[in-house]
Amino acid sequence: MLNIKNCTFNYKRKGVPTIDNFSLRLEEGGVYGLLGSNGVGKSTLLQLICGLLTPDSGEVTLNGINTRLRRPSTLDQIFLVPEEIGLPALKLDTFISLNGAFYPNFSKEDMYRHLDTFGLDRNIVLDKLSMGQKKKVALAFAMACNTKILLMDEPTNGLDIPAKSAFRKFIIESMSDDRIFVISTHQVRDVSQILDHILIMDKSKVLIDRTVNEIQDKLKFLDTTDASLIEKAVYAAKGLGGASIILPNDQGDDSELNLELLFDFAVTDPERLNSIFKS
Amino acid sequence: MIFEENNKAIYLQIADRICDDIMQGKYDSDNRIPSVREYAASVEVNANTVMRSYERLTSRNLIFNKRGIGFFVSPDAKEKIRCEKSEELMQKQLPPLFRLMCNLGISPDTLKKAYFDFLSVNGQSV
Amino acid sequence: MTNDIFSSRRFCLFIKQYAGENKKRFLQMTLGILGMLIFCTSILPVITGCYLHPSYNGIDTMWNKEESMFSFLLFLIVIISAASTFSSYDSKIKRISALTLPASTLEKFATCILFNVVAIYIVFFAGVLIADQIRVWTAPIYADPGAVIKPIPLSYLFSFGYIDGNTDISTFINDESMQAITMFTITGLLGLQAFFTLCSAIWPKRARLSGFVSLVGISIAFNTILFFSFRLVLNMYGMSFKFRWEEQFREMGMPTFMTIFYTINIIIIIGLYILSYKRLKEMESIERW
Repeated sequence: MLNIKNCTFNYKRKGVPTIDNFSLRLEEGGVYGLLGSNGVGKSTLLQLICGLLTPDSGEVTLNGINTRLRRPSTLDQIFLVPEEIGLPALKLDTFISLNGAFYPNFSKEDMYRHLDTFGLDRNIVLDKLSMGQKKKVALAFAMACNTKILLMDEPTNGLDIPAKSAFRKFIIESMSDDRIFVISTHQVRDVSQILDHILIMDKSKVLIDRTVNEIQDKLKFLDTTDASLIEKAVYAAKGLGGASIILPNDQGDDSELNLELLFDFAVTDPERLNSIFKS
Repeated sequence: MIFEENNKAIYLQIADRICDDIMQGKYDSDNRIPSVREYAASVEVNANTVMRSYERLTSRNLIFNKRGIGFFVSPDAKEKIRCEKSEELMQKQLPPLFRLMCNLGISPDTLKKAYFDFLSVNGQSV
Repeated sequence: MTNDIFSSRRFCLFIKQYAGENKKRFLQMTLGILGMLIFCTSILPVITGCYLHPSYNGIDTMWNKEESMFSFLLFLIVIISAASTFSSYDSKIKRISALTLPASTLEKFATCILFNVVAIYIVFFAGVLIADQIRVWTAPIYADPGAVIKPIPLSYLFSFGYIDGNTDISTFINDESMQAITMFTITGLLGLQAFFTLCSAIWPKRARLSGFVSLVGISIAFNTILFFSFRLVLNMYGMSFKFRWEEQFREMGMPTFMTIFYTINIIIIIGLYILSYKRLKEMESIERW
């Protein structure tokens, strides 16, 4: 279990911190969506998790061990796919044999399989690739390492539509009870259906930390032109002729979570949102 | 898989889709439906959601789980679904149509003729 | 459970990975050093014109000049190499992959040191031998027939030209001032190397610039110490400089002084490397002060 305990982090050591007293527990078996606008601190949080940054206070532990220690036995269970990918000037096969060896569960067959899914040739030289291709290689490698924890920073950025689909399929197929996936993104639509935990960040805080089931239990999402319903909504996004609204789910209805709407609600009125969950 | 934007919970839409597939005889030969994970990956939806669909179908006795092997279509599922959908058509979808017909003054015979024309054009029979 | 601090298996894996990733840079550096050495050794006789007349006592006149040139180049190359020790941490993207790679900080540190601080000597001296041999092969083209052209003996190199073509090393060991000069040169070289390694750890991107600037400041202090030490050493041989603790130091004798000097320097050098290691441990994906 990944435990983020009272972490605060500030890039400038003064002023408003980027991460203010976060406490999160990421459980095995979860596909976490870390949502937030650009610049809000999602990358910062991911880097704190794998020990790339030192929290100004608090700590992040994986099964009790502080990740900032950057012990190899901790690091080989975590893999971070950053937003910007840097690859050395090597042939793909060389890269795989040099780097895969550090990860105990690395599988070369998996790597080739993912590359095929992404439509990449095996005989490529890594520094001659386009940004999108580098992303595919990085994702394929990350997936082939089969680490317990996989952190991805804007993984769908730069991917074409078939690749986004391949990415989603991979996440679902590889998920297991002992793994944790964290997908940080501002492109909600690319990943909304594969998530089972929603984390929304804004203004240095975690606005919501709930499972999709919990959200669907408490809230009802609806597109309607019915003015009386729109009146009763806890949040409404008005459009042509009607609105997309959120209502408290008093009758235990089953509606599909509209993640974009939820995100807007969370950012606009976080207290109201959390009060619904507390009741 | 494109999901309808009518806010119906996706797990319900998936359950409906599987029901349609059963009724159209897609799973006839060995009666086995894909595992939760396989199906989830094919429609790119979280496995928990698909699990909920399967649980719902199981509770309606339309599919059952053979431990260690997988999920299978219940022997009478096809007939059951047909009945349920027929019931829904009669009770939910036809009354509004009838109300409209009444308001517009369309007789039952007109409806019957239109239905038979439809069947002959589409090469189907009741 | 493999050791989290150091594992020889993982160390070897990391060495391979580091070498593979920096293959281009190392190749460029080696070729650059070799090129520079060959160029300098080939051009020097032409510039100084020392082969334009026969040699006097059967000794190759180039050796003396080569000695100074090589000493200068050695310092230059060692410092430049040390200043790029942690170049694999010079951008955010590189740091992210370098710091998350599952190897211990000690393994990463030792590998960087191995390639940039230790291996450079091997590359340099191999380059010197190659460049020198090329001089021996090419100089006869334009040299006076009476000029002696021979490869420089290693003992000549390491004794700063003290052995004028005479390859008897035993004379070397007996002369104390020779030892003193050697001592200052070696500790100076290793000290500068350690200093620039630390600069590389603190500012991987601009180590050479920052290192140089800091060095200007520090060298004033360092030179002062050297100056007084020199006064001390030379003083023991009858030169008349005065300074405060002269009496005590004079009684000390050269061997003791050397031991103290070496010890202090070794401690300083080890200290600098330990600081570099600590800096690597503390390093984050971005630089924030």
